[in-house]
Amino acid sequence: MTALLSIRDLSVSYRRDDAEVAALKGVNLDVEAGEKLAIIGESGSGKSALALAIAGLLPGTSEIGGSIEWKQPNLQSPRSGRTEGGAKDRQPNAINSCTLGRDIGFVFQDPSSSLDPVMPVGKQIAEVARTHLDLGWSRSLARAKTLLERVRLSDPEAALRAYPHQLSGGQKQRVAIAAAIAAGPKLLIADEATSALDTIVQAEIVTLIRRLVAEDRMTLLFISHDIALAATLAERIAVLRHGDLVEVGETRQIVEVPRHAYTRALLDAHLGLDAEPLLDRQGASA
Amino acid sequence: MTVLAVSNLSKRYRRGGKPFPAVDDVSFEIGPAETLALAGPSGSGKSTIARLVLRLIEPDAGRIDFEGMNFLALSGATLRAKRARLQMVFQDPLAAFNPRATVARVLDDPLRIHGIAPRAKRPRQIAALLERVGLEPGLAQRAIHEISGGQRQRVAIARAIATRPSLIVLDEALSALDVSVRGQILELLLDLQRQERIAYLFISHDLGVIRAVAHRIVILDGGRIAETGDARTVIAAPQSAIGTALVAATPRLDRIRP
Repeated sequence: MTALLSIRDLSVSYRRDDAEVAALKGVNLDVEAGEKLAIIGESGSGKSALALAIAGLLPGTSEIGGSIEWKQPNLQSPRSGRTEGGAKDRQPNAINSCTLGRDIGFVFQDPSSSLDPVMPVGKQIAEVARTHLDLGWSRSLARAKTLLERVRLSDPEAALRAYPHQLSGGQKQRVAIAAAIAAGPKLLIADEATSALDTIVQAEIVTLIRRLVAEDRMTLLFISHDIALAATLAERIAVLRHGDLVEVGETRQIVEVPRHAYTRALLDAHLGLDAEPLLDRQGASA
Repeated sequence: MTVLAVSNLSKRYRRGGKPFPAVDDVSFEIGPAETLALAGPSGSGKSTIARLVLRLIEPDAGRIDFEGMNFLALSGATLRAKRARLQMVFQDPLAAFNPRATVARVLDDPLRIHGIAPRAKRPRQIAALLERVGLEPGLAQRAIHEISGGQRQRVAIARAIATRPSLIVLDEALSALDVSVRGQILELLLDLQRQERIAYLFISHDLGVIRAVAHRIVILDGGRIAETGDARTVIAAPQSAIGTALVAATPRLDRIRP
C-alpha cells in the first residue's frame, strides 16, 4: 500500500483557563491510501485534535509542531492557524494544496450544528460541488440529488427541498455525509459521526460509510470512543491516550492480542453482549 | 411487593398538528432492589415514561402506584414527602446543576428541603454522602464546573441517595461517560442497590450495559411495549422485530470482520 499521509512528531497544544493543555504529544502515524483506519480514545485523548489537525481545522490560537505530509502528488495539508512547517517546506506549491471539502470530507458528531438551518439541504450539498468542482447550479443540484440517492434518503426529490429541522437525526447525518463526499474527496474523516444516534441508526450509518468508502475508493479516518464499533469497520486501529499514540495495529491484533495495557483495559471495559454480567460478578441476584 | 407499578399509561404529544402517541398503553412493575431496563430506539417513549414516572409531565391515561400509593392523586405535602423516595439521575449532570454551585451546596439542598438533617449536622452528612459514592470529602468546596464528568455523575448519585429513595430513575445516566469511568459508576450503582435495596428504572440505548446490570428489560417501539422479560434471556433470543434489530445493531468485539 502507498501512504496517503505521513504524520511526524505532531504536537498540538492550546490554552484553557490560563493553562497550556497538550492535546497531542509527538504523534507519529502513517495513513495508507485506501485504508479504513480508526482512531480511538477516551475524552482528552487527542483523537479529535488529530482529526482537526489533518483537516486544517484547528483554531488559529493552537500551537502546532511537527508535520503532516501528504504523500500523494498535488496535495499538502490545508492551512490551519499555523501551517505545519514540514509540509510547507516539502510542498511549496500552495496552488495544489489540499482543500477541505475538495480533498477531505469531514463529518462531525452533530449534524444539526454542521448544517445550515435556513438553507434547503439540496442547496447545501450542491454548494460543495459548485465550489470545488466548478459546476453550474443546475449540474450541482443534479449531483446533490444523486448524492441524496446514494446516501439512501427515502425520497431524494423531497429531501432536496427539505430544511434540516424537517429531518430526523439519522437523516441529517446522511445529508452531512452527502455534503462531505460531494466533491469526491480522497479522505473521509468521520469524527464521532454516529455517537449522537441510537444503536440502530448508528449501525445503518456505519454500513453507509463502509459502502460509500468502497464505491468511491476513499481513505477513511473513523474517530470514535467505542472500540467495538471501530472494530466492526476499520482494518487498523490507533489507540490514543492523553495525547500519546499508545498503539497502532491491525484490528484483529488490537482486539485479540493488544500490546499495551491501556488497550487491554479499554477492551475489558467494553460491555458487549458476550461479557459476563456485573450482576453475577457481584454475587447479586434477581 | 412492588415499589413501582405503572398501569396502562398513555401520553400523546402533538407533532405537525397531529396527535402522536409518545407512550401508548404501557404497564410494568419494579420490585425492591430490582433493576428494570427500558430500551428502544430514539422516539420509542423511554424518556417520556421517565418523565411521567417522575411526574414532570402528566399522563393522558393510566395509573402509577408508588410504594403502594396512587402517585398521580398525590399533591402538596404528601407528594413532596413521596418525591424524596423517588429520585433521578440524568445523562448530563452539568445541565442538571447550577455549574457555579459548590458540591456542598448541591448536596445540602435535598437534605434541607426534605428535612433530612438539621443545619448543624449537614456538613457531616455531606461528607458521608461523598464518601459513600467514592469521593473525597474535600471535594465539597469545589464548584460543579471544576470537577470531572465522572465526579459530577458521582455527585448526582450522592444527591439522589441523600433522601434515602426506594427508586432511582437513571435516564441515560452513563451514556456520556468514558468506558473506564462507566464501569466504576456501574459498580457503585450495584453496590448501592445491594446495600440500600434501591430499585432502578434504568433507561439506556445500550444493550451491553443493560445486560450487565439489569434484571429485567422492557423493549419499547413507537411508545408500546414490544417485548419484556428477563434481560439476558430477551437479549440472547429477542422475539420482537425491534428487539432483533437492536441486538443485531449492537457492535460486538467477537464478530470482527476479517
